[in-house]
Amino acid sequence: MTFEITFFDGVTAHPRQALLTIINRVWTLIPKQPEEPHHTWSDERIKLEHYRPGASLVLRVEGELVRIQASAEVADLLYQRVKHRETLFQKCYSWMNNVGSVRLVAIGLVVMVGLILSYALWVSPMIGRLAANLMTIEQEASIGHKMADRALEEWEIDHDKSAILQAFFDNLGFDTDYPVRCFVVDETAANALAFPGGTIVVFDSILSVTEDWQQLAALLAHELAHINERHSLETVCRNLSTYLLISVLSGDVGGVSGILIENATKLERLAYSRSLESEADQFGARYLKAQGIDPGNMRLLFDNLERHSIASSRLLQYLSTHPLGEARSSVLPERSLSWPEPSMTSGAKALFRQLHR
Amino acid sequence: MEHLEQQGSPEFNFYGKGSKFFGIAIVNFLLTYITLGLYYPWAKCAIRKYLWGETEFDDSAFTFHGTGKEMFRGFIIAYGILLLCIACFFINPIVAIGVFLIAILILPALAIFGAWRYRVTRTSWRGIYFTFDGDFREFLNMYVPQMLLTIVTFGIYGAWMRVKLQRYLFEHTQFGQLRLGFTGQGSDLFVINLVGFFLMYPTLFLYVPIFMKKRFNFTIDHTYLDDGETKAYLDSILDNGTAFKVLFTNGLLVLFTAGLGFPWALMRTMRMYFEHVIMPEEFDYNALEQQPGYRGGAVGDEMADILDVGLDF
Repeated sequence: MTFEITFFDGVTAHPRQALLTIINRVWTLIPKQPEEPHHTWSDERIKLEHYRPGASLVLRVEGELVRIQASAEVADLLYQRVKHRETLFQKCYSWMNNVGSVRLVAIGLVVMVGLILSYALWVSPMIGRLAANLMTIEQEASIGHKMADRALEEWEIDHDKSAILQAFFDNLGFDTDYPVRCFVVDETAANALAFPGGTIVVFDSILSVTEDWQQLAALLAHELAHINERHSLETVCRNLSTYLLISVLSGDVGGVSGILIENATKLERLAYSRSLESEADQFGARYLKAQGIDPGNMRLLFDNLERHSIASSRLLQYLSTHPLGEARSSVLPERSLSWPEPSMTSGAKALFRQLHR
Repeated sequence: MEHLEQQGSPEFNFYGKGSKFFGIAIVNFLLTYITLGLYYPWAKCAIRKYLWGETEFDDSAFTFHGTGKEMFRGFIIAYGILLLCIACFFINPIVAIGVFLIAILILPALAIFGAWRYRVTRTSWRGIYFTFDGDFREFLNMYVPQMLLTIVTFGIYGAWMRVKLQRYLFEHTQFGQLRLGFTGQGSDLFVINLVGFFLMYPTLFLYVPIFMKKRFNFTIDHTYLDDGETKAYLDSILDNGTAFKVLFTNGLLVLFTAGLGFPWALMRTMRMYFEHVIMPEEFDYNALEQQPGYRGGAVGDEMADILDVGLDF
């Protein structure tokens, strides 16, 4: 193969016209000016320094810089001969340079969207879970109470109803490691929230939707499951995942607490994932059963909530933070007519009546 | 060196494309993200290789010879130096304050000097490397009093300081046997900055393109090449109209694309700058010869990035 090229020898910037012949992996450069020296290089001595598609190659031959400018076709042919000697970075750079601009942008955007999705779907929940698991119950309770106190500053607490709800909850005797505090707040929106570490906040609008004490027990059991299974902590951690993990790993619990408290009011807007909701249903139903309450009340409560949500937009907030999903009703057991009356019925009924007064 | 008799001056051309630059930037971002930032030096290297490779002078493109590996080494050392300074706070607060004061004087100097040296000595044109023979101790001796003067004058002296640093760096840089030089005066730059300061807000920043053009012309028009016999100045033919048209539309492009148009704006800006520089006709650039020179590492270049020290000249 013989090509016409312009080359620069790395000693002067003077362009030299030459014939380049490549035979048996030996490059011979014959300048057109007869007085100029010939150059002979074997393939192994040539290293690619830079390639500009269709225009020029900068080679390093035993440490000396040689620049070759040629027609697009010749430059590409020469590049093909030396490209196997590219470093990984050069390969990556050449690929970027050779692939069309539109294709490059499209590939980049697709991969970027993929990465963002994978972060949101897998990495962020994983980091959230990891950060949540690294916290002890005491740490969680201490931080969670501060978070709840911060959030409660935003609402008007109904202290009388809160005391009744607390008594109602205590009367149910659910098993938990957390020091659970219950609050009722005056809000037009219907919602119930579980803060990490054991605070349940019930908006008074949702109380009117519960038709009997067992449905209220189901609502509290569901929220308690979010606390016991650390769903609240995990959801908050997932949203602040990367920052939190760094704080927890560096032992900066003060930093963690600061971040969580700062974001306490956001909990109202954070939605649990469907899988966490389903888990809270299962555990809540189990708590009810353990206390002798028909777990079918859980299904009844959510059917009730769904029905009311169609009639009233006030319930939309609860549904936005506690996605129901169509499969929910089918998974939960139905209320049984033959279920024996639980032992706490009379006390619970009285407290429920007081709440509804 | 041979001199030419009015053969017309060779031109600069810039062929960078916004779409290609955008693609490279996206791939860089992804690789930097996936490698938790470790790819950053290679990303910077890819960007420079592209920009240098698309800039031609007399129909031959420049080449950037820096490598990700050496920039990565510089990156580690630069971070190491900063971490050592921070570590002093945990050892002894008095020592730490001393180290901190020394660091804020020395590190920016290292960044400016090192970044210039690295970029210059990793650039070639037609196989001829630029060379740099500045001495850091000499630069530092000049930098520290300049910096202190700038601090005590609340930044007013900054224009004179910038000009002095630029003069030092240029006068120790060679393009083949042509030595660069700079004769700009601090007072001229101060007036440009002052006028810019007073006109920026009343014109709702419409003065920005004119301000940038004035700064560019100030640098180019006061830069000369010297082969030991002849001294000849570069010339900028960038006018207010062109600068306004290109930079104003660039601003709109970036604004209305929520920043996505930045690569295209950058390419247009670079093209505008390069294509309005006239090199002296007095020299035969084909006769440039490689000169010996010290190359140095990439620590300063990385430090410039970490400290966000710009090298706008």
